[in-house]
Amino acid sequence: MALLLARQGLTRVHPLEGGLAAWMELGFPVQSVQPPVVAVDERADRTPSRAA
Amino acid sequence: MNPADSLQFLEHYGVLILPALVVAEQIGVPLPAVPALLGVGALAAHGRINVGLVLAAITVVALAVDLTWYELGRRRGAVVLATLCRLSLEPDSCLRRAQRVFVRHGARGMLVAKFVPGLSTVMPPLAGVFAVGRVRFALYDLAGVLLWAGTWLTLGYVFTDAITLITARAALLGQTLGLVAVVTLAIYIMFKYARRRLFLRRLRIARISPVSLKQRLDAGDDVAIIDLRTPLDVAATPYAIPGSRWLAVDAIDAGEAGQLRGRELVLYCA
Repeated sequence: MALLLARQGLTRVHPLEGGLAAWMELGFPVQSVQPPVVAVDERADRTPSRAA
Repeated sequence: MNPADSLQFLEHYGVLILPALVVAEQIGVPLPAVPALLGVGALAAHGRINVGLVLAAITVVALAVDLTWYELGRRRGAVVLATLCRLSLEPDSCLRRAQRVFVRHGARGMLVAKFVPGLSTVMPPLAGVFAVGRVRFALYDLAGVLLWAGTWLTLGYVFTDAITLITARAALLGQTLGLVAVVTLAIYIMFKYARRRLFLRRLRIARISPVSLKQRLDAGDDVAIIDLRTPLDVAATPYAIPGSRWLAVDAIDAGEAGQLRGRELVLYCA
């Protein structure tokens, strides 16, 4: 993914070690998000929305 | 084996060779099923092979392999996809590309998946992960296999003279042509591999720990946090780092890239 971003000219990039799992493991704050609809229904909206 | 021998070999063993090539492609090994299909089509035009038998053999074997991948995807989930993508020549984009096709077209994407290298391997387990019904999957898969194999066989049948001519010319060059093709492919794969390794090494150096990120956020540093998880990952863990943006990388347009270009980005996955 970072490779694809670099192709867009975005080079000041830092991957987070361990990803979200490591962040949550340390007990750091998270916000809940509405999961995208992944069932195969062509009419469904699949854009996830963020709740504050 | 020179190309003329290949046609003779296909004539005798096409019913076995074609299904074997199709299986190899379906488990991620890039072998030339398409030239073989064209060859079988060309042979069929001269009545030298039973094309119906070859098509039936391909269909039965392809359906069996795809149904196995589908069941694995259905039972084991995204783990199967991750393993498959690791074998791909484009491991960074393989899963996202397949998911994009699936989300946009649903099971109908399977009709064209076999025409796209890499996609045909990932689509059946992805259909399992997305819980497409078994009958629906089998019908679309059957249609996809028939469309793919039928197209190349028909082209071979129609352009039989051209294929025979190309084969005869290639036979003159013999093994040299094969050697050049193999060396070119090997150089291409090595170049892609080396470039990716180099880039990943640079990224490893630039990694940020969760503790450092928390400290920087608490200090009010200007850091844009990008959530790069796939829709499946977000569905599995519906939480995010506060202030992060969920972005599909291939959806970033030029304007958005321009806004982000000057800023420090922290990317995270699952």
